[in-house]
Amino acid sequence: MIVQLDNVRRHFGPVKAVDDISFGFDRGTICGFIGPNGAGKTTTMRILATVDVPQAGEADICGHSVIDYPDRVRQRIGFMPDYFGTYNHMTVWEYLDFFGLTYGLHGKKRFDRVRRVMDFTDLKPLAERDVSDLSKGMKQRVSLGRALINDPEVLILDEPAAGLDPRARIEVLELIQELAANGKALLVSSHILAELSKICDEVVIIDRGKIRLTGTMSEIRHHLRSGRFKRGSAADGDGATAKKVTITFSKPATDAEKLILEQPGVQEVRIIGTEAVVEHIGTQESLANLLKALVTAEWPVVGFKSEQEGLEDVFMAVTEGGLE
Amino acid sequence: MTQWHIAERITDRSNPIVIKEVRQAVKSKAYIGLYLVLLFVCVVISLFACGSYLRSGVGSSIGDEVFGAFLVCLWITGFVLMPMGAFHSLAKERTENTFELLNISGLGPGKIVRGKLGAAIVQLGLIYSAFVPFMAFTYFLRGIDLPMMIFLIVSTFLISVFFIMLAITASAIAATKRAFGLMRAGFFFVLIILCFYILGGGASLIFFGGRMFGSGGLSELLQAALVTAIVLGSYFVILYLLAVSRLTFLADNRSTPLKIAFTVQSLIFAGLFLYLVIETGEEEFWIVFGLLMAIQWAVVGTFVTTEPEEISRRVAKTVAKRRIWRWLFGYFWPGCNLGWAYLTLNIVLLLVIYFGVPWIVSLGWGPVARFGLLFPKPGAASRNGWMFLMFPLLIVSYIFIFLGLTSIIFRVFARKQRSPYVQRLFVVILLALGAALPFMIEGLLGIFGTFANPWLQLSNPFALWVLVERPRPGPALTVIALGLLFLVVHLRIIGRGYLQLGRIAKANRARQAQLDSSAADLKPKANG
Ligand SMILES: Nc1ncnc2c1ncn2[C@@H]1O[C@H](COP(=O)(O)OP(=O)(O)OP(=O)(O)O)[C@@H](O)[C@H]1O
Ligand SMILES: [Mg+2]
Repeated sequence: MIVQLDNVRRHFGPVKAVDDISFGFDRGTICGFIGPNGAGKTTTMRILATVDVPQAGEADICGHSVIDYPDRVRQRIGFMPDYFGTYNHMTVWEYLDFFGLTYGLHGKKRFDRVRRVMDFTDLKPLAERDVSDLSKGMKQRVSLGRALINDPEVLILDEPAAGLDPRARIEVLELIQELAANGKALLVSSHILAELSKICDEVVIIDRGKIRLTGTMSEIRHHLRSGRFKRGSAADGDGATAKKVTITFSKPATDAEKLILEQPGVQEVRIIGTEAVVEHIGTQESLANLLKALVTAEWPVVGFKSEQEGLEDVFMAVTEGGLE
Repeated sequence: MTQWHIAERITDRSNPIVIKEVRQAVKSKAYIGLYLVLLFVCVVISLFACGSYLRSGVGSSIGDEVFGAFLVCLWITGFVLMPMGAFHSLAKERTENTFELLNISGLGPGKIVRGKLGAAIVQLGLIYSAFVPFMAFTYFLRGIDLPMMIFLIVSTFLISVFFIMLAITASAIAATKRAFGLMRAGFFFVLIILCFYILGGGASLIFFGGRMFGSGGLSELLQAALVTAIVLGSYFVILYLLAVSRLTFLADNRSTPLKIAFTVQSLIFAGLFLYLVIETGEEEFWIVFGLLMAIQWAVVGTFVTTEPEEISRRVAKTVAKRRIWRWLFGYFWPGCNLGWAYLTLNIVLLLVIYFGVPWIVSLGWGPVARFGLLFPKPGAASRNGWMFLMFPLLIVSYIFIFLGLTSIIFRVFARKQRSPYVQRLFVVILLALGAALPFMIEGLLGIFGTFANPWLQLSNPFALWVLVERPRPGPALTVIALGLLFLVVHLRIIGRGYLQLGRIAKANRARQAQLDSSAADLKPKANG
């Protein structure tokens, strides 16, 4: 594994930002790193980028420990953080050239690298534009270009597609795919599983500092089809599935919320008029029990429809249902 | 070799930050505007000078006044405008988080700070290159001689560099946008005041001593310059290290270089002030030394004793393997427990120097009579002797009392809230409370103006002079006893710091063994 984390822990006082996580991935792979706000994605990525140091555990990149040999690791990685980092009075070309200089690239070598990176990220037409005046999508490409300037083996991209319009997002994702095809290892974070599902080879879902689910994309799809998925923390592989259940009543359902929430397996309830939309994780039996409880309490149920959850629902279920 | 090649060579060899900043400056309206305005001012001053020279007739000497006018322009640029520019430039690097990107790309904090300084010096140099020809021309207007001119220009340049360093450090210290705003305002204010202060001082230098030779005070001037250079030079190094430390990742070692620098500086100052005492025969210099060190170590102590207790694993790796080295130099490592060790050891060292050196001197080494006040001849009781003795002891006691109180309160009641910033703020609040308490009591009792009562002013370290003014053993000894008490209580914490180092060394060994064995496991696979 070119990137390998073993029981990495980083707490900020009482906040367990990253709590004993382990995963790894190889060259030519895109590893999707998915989690809601505050899950610990940025913290993990900053550890890999040698900015921060874990309190316990080991993290290696290309066989070098990020704790012991930050300099060796820094030469081999490109880091695109969740901020851009602009300078005033600097063109795109000068910006990339400057970062080439900071990596110690000299003369023609630097010139060639900057040109290659600009070709790759399609920044040629913007070469003479001021970096501080660029749109978000363009800035994101410049940022990616900067991460590529030292021709790294491993790329760590923190939410590269956040805040982009659909077109810009697709463009960035295509660039990422191309990088993987060129043999680079990429760790790409996002809030949205579906966003990365098309390009990821592997997925790591993290929530509140713990890994909730890992696997290749096809494994996750397989689990999804078979109606079960491996949960990173809880070991209840007893055929539990995530389902979205829509219950229709013949009268406004507001008062039913409390009762529904009390039932086992129910994660969340949204009441819309006479309908209750329930996030449910559990076996078929517990689903039947939910209906039984409603009927016993003499609620006028006229419809009870459950549907298999999509990727995004899996994400929802795994991250928010991961309460121990 | 073509021009392009030379430019390319310079680019490759220089600090990338300097290249970047100069590129940016050339494009920035502010810098170009400033440059043009200054050129315009130069021309205007020269025209005025020519006019008045012609009017007052050949043979008059107005060179010093014209030179002064140019010099004031250099002061305003070098002491205010360029430092402000450097401040903004690094502030931007902080708010935009680019210093983090630079750190990762192999441009360490030292190179960033040197780059910023270098860029500002290059810009300053450009401005000087516009001014110096005009200033050289004032030589022909008479009234000022060449050595004086060179001295003033060079010293102005050096002081400007110092101010630029100060600005860079201020900028590195401010962490949030609001702090930047505050710092900027405060900074501007300080610089304006300094500017006026120096305007007065510098002007008098020119007008009373336009000629460097002939006034007879050359050696004194050079001596003063040397002392100033040592003092400012040492603070320059400390400012530089402070800025570097602030741009260093939290996970790296931010405090050891600074800690070493503060200790070394204290030793240099001891030598310097001893020299001054012997040279001038004024033993008051020794008190100045004590006061300066007291203030400095109160501030340093506030910082080192409030550092986070936890030592990052990257720093832990650098802890010495052998116990002897850990015991000898461990106190330079980060962490509040070792911070107490560092503070205590340095204060003890300084007290030994403060009392020991005059004592040795009074025993008959060197100019014997110099420290007669501190160690008066038997029978010649002296009030100043009490002052010499009590001033440092009381200040040190107050340092231990206030820092110790803070440390204990946070350790016992607010373990979770032990962030460095909160603790440092608490020290300041405690100081303010201590200073205000006597006056609140006075208000409650309806008695005013009782500075005369030393017991009432005990909580107020700023009223220390009440205790040293006249021999008042009761209250003074109470303060010293309290200080000692807090020191003794913290000996345990110091011990804990050293034990922590020992544990780290042990963990390092274990981890290394594990890494070695896993490496050994991998080897056969790699071969096969
Ligand atoms: N320097 C810090 N000091 C204290 N707490 C921190 C620090 N950095 C992160 N945290 C906390 O750690 C947790 C994880 O933060 P992190 O930034 O890693 O989340 P994230 O997954 O990147 O979230 P987002 O999607 O919002 O970017 C959060 O609760 C955050 O408040
Ligand atoms: Mg984040």
